[in-house]
Amino acid sequence: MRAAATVARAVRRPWLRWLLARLGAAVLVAWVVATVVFFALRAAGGDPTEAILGGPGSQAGPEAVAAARAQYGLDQPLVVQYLVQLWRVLTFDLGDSYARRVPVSELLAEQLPGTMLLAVLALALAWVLALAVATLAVRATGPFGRACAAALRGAEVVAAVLPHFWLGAVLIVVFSSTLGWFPATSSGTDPVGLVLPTVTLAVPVAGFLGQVMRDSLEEAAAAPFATSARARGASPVRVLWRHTLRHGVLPAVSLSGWAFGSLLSGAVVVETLFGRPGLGRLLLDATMQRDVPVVVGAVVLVALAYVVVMLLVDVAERLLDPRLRGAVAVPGAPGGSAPAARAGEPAVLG
Amino acid sequence: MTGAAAAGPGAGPVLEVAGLRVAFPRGGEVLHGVDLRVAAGECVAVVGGSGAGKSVLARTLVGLAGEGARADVRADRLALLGRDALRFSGRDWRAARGRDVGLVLQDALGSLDPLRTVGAEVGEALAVRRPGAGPAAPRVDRAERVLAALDEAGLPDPAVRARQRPGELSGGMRQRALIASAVVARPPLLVADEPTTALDATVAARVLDLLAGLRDSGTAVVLVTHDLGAVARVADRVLVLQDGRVVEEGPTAAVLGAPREAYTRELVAAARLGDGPGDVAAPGAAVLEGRGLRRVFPLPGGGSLTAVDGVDVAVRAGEAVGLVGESGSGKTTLARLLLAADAPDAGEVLLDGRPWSALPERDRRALRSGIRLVPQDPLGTVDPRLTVRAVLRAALATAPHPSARRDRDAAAAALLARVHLPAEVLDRRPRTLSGGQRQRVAIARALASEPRVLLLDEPVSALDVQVQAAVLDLLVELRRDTGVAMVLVSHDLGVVRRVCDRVLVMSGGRVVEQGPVPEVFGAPAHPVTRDLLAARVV
Amino acid sequence: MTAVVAERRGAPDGGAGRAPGSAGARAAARAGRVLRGLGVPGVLAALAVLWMAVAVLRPDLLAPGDPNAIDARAAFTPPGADHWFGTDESGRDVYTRVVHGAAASLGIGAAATAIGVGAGLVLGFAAGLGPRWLDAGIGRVLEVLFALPTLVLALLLVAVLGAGVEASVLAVGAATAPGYARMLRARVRSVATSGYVEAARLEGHGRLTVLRRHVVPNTLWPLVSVATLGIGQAVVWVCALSFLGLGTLPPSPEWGAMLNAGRVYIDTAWWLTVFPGLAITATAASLTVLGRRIGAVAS
Repeated sequence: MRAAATVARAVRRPWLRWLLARLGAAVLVAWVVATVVFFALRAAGGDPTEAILGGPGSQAGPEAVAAARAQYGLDQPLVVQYLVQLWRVLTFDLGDSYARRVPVSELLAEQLPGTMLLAVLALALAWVLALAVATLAVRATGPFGRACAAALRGAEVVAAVLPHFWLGAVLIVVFSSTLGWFPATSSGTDPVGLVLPTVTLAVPVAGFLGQVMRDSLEEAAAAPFATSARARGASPVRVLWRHTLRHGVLPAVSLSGWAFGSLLSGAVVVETLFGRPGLGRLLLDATMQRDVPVVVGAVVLVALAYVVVMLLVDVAERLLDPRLRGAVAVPGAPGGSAPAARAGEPAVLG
Repeated sequence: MTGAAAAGPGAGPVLEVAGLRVAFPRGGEVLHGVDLRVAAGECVAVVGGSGAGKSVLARTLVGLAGEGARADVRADRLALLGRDALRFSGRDWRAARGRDVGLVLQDALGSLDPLRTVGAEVGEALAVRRPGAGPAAPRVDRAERVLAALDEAGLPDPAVRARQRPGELSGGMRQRALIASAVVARPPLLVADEPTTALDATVAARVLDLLAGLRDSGTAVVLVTHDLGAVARVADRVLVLQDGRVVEEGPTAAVLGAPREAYTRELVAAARLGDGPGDVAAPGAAVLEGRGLRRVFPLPGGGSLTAVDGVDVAVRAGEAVGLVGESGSGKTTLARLLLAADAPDAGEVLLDGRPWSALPERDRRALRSGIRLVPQDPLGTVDPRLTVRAVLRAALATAPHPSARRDRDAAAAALLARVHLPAEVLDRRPRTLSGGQRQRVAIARALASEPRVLLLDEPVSALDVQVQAAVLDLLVELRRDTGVAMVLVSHDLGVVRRVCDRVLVMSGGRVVEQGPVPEVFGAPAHPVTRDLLAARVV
Repeated sequence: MTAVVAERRGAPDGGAGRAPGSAGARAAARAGRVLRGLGVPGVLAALAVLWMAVAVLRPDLLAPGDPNAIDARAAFTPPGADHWFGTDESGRDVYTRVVHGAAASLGIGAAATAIGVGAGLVLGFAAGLGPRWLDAGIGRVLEVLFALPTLVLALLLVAVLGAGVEASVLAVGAATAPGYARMLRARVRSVATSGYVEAARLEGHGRLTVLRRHVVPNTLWPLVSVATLGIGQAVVWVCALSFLGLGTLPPSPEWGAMLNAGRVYIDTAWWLTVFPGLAITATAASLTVLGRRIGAVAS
């Protein structure tokens, strides 16, 4: 019993340490992003009072300007403003939007769900497409199958570089203007309206993930362990499902964090193109209006979303690949020291 | 033919192959008519150099010749347990693999799926659904048979091992687990392709004993190997394969004791503990000396590993010292300390009686021409963009003598001539050369600065036996002609015997035995030395 | 000596004694090897890139007309024999504008890539070869930058610098720099710890010699392929900024700006968005394929 408890503690502790390290990194990222964004915008963005009072060319009198400055704390020194902003970020109070005069947190809370829904749907669709294409391409036999696999390979390369603004436009022309199947503009969770934006976001990511998956699937299928499995009588389907697929999927899982980031990039374009409200649109509008609190809030939120996604990716990788779970000390297992010794010895001799 | 259909172990051959030809669309015919018969309880070894077609033969016997490429398999006869395997469909082969014939590949780390548990891998042959053979064995039954197979394969604590992943096992245990995975369904035939190549001598001996045990319990074993020591240990009969043809065949003792073909004679000669270096000049004063050397590496999970633990070593001018031991014994770390590629945690290295390891690298640079390395993997130590000419010219630039620096192209050609390579090699990139040629270029590169000491790290372990012999001859010739001192790191006592005067046996970071080569090899005192010798003697 | 002969037979290409052919034959053989290395997609991509190069250098050869010639009567002509890609709201020929816009779009993309690669080189080499604290510091900065998606980072920079061509070039360059920096750092590290660099050091060559002869060339060589790929990506990002109204502004025949102007008419005149977008996609795809082939041939 006591041995089991010791092992259990040994397993849990590195896990906890890993989680704490990740959370620490997340806080650090949020802090640095908030700081950089704040100072960059204030240094280059001129006087934000203009934005508060209705943009360039507003006819506000000096009293109105002074009142606005006092209301938003702009009469304080920059460092004080920064500390105030930082304290607010820590307490989830991001201040009021200059342009829209409502709390930033309210704006973000309003726009976040739509964008997240879009991004998650797109990532799921991209995975389904990529998996289907990769497994089909790997299993293709015969001259016709090989030709199809080659065509799919080309399609993946083109798909991966498709710009969202063009793919979305073509989809609108074909499926909205011409066929009238789906609306060109949509908002909220209307499933029919979500189709075109989701496909627009998913296809480039699917092309990218598909290439990665196919490469690693092919590599795994040529590995000695796959030969060994075949030599035990495993059928091609079994070799794929029990052996090579996990190896093929792993790199794509690792890259899904990056893919999620590119989906947020794409959301800015797609939300503009399809007229959908969302985090991307909000960020774009705030950028154009120099609405500092909104830009800071949106950017920090995007950075935090990325950190959370990377955390999930890490967990998924560890679930799929036991080698990443750290060397769990099992009593009486030799060999633990041999690879370590090899790792300690550098390149030339050895 | 059909009369033998009911043949089980004991009646008729388990495997009968006649006139087997295998061709690939690219690369042409690899096997040109091979005959092979294996009876139950018999072990037949197939030996030959790289490119002889051994691995293709092994894969053809389990119906996997066409992996990755479309293979054309033709034969007068290919019978497995009396059934005509030439008429096997893909489904028939799948039913036969794992149940009628098992395959063990070399490199057990790569041959077991690193993401699955050892138990799942070993049990796979029981878990697969075989076309036309009913459902797979029930899960509980399977688990028991997996543990029994691991136990028979000699793994301690089978229940623990079954839950571990291949990466958590040592090399020897992985190879045993791989063998267990091939024999768990008790196939009458086992094909083992280089099962001991990646293993240390002592571990390899135990794996071979395991194969011998399987043979004794009635399994027919085909052992594909280049290692005649392994053959002598377990094989009843030997087939010598050269360029896809069987050049010699017979009982093991006869073939190894009195080889008829020139090729077999070369193989046997290379496998024996051959002659020594012959007459060389008497050694002079010490050129390279290590005193009380110690090197400790921190381990990733905390703790540390003492790779070299208080070693004293002296190399005198013109002398060749062998450094032998199993992997992890510290011989490579010691060589790095002597080369000042790494700094000792305690102790000191002297070159020509002057400080060497204690110098700052800036001061050491000018002295580096005195000591040179010949690496195990020459390809990894040359810039992939450079030709042999550029590599040799850069090496000559560090030579202390101005004459060599003046006409470097001529000097480079002269260096190649010294290692018996034609001057055309100058304008080729090392990766287009054969293994033996690369190693000769590496030796030429090391000789460019006319060093007083050469450090050779497993210089021939990646080469075929005949090529090994030629490179070793070259080393002996260089000793005689130039009087350069050598430190030769090897796990192979035959290599040390051929080149060296003195030998140091290392184990666990310490020198456990040392002395003149004939004395140490003639009367080994330490168990490690005896194990290493046992692996070598044919 | 027999052993040496045996070895040579075992060489992968027994070409030690290959007779040298004539210079012309050798050049032809070399060209053949390059073409075979490129493969069919590579050759197609190379042809597309060639077409683009002509469009950049001599657009009048491909489209002799004036890209800004207004013809109100011919407004919104669908694609046909007279106007291959149709005409826009002022009757300007879209094909002519796409050809003449190549210089702006590709130039902006190339400039952004140059900025990204340049910044990446400085950061990558500093982190890869510098002291440990510098590496850790740069690593942290890159980690933070990676938390911001490329377009979000570019938007942020545009917010700081203000909209416009120069700002969008700088923004895309800076937004792509972290990727180059990370790749170069890893590459520098792997070369600096490689067996051949250690072998050169053990041969007694000085730090600078090793850096000049091994580390720099082996690090920079893969950049050719990466930068080719990168230009295609940068064109897409720059056009995305123009499309959002933050880069080049509409009257100019830059591809992203044309898309932005045409977006309003997407229901009635699809050709205004589809053809400039097709040019962007073809550019990105052909540069990607070509970049990969170069990378594959180089290794």
